[in-house]
Amino acid sequence: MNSNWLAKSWAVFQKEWRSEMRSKHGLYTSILFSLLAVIAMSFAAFGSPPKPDIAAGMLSVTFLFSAVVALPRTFLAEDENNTFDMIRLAAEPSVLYFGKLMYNGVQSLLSCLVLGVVFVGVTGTSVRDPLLFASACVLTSTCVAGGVSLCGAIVIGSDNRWLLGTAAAVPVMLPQIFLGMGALRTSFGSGMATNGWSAAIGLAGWSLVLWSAGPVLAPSAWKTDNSIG
Amino acid sequence: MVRVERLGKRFGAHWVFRGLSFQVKSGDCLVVLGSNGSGKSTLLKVLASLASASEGRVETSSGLKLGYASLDMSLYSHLTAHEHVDLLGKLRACPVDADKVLGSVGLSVSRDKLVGQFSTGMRARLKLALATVHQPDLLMLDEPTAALDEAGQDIVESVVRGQLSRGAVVLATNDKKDRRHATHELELAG
Repeated sequence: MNSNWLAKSWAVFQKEWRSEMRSKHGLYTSILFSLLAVIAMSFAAFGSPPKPDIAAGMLSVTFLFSAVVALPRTFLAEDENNTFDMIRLAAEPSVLYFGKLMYNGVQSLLSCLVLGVVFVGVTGTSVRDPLLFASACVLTSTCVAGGVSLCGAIVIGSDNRWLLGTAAAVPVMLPQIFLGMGALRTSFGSGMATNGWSAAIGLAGWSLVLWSAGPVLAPSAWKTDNSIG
Repeated sequence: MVRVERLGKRFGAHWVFRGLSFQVKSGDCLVVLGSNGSGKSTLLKVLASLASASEGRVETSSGLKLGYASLDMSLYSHLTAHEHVDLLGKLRACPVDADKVLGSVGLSVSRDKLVGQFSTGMRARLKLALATVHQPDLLMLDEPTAALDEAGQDIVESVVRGQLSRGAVVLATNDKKDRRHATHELELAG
């Protein structure tokens, strides 16, 4: 990774940001899903705050699905709109992947932070450990961005993308769901603080794995090399 | 520059082309001819490594800079023409005067217009500009004049001439007028 590589990745990030700010496709999809999910959950609880374990599960699921409906588009839209050939001839696959991963990271972070606050406000869930809650939201967002980007990149160009995406998403997302729920549950007052922080550290580690492995693993699925030059 | 040996591509049981062998050297303009569905676009994609070959191989000079523009390649509808040139320049790590590049294809006045508002001909001109932004060694053009008016066709002609002075061109076309550029021709039967 050098400054040239980072500058190119930054150019891809800017392209994604500009496109999204002008089309707002992912943003609107994410907001719509998240708000409906939170409102539905608050109705389901009949106005009383849900128990910490249930609240953690509900928020984790909402984080995950708001990301799943919006983030893979960064990759899939390139394929569906026939724009992928243009940029993959112009830059190394790892550059394209990392630029898109950065963009997904930012979108996911904003989405998780807003969603976390809205969820707590609407459902009336009490947060016993605000620092752990904030850490869980931030780390879940980085995990989700890393996982969804990896799956989106792997399935691009595949004939059976939804089947492949589902098969790839289960092992990538399960650790994040398990650890994220653990950290959120403790932040809402269930279980021991040390368990919550252990889960948060686990989330940080899984994020690191996904963000490091993604630029190496995902672009290998894009290679079409007929050349021996 | 490029050497192709016994190249073949098939979709399912159907061979689009098979057993193609040819070379492209600097100064060459290989015009690929054939009716619709004969495999012209597929051949260009295989040469550019955008599609895999079913058999055979493509040898390229190391560090070969490739430019590619095709009818079915799309642009980002939410970016302006200027942002496209700027993006491609940054990704190819080459300093680009975007205004000059857009001026060369007659798009100066549309520099800040979103590409989603472009006509088909304007998009074709922008694709041509993007394919040549990094001064490629080999320029591959798939039906470059199909959507263009007379002025646009003159631009393609000048781009091809300029390219032949510093490298090579592979041009897939149905337009017999494009044969005037050819130093070699390859007709695909389909």
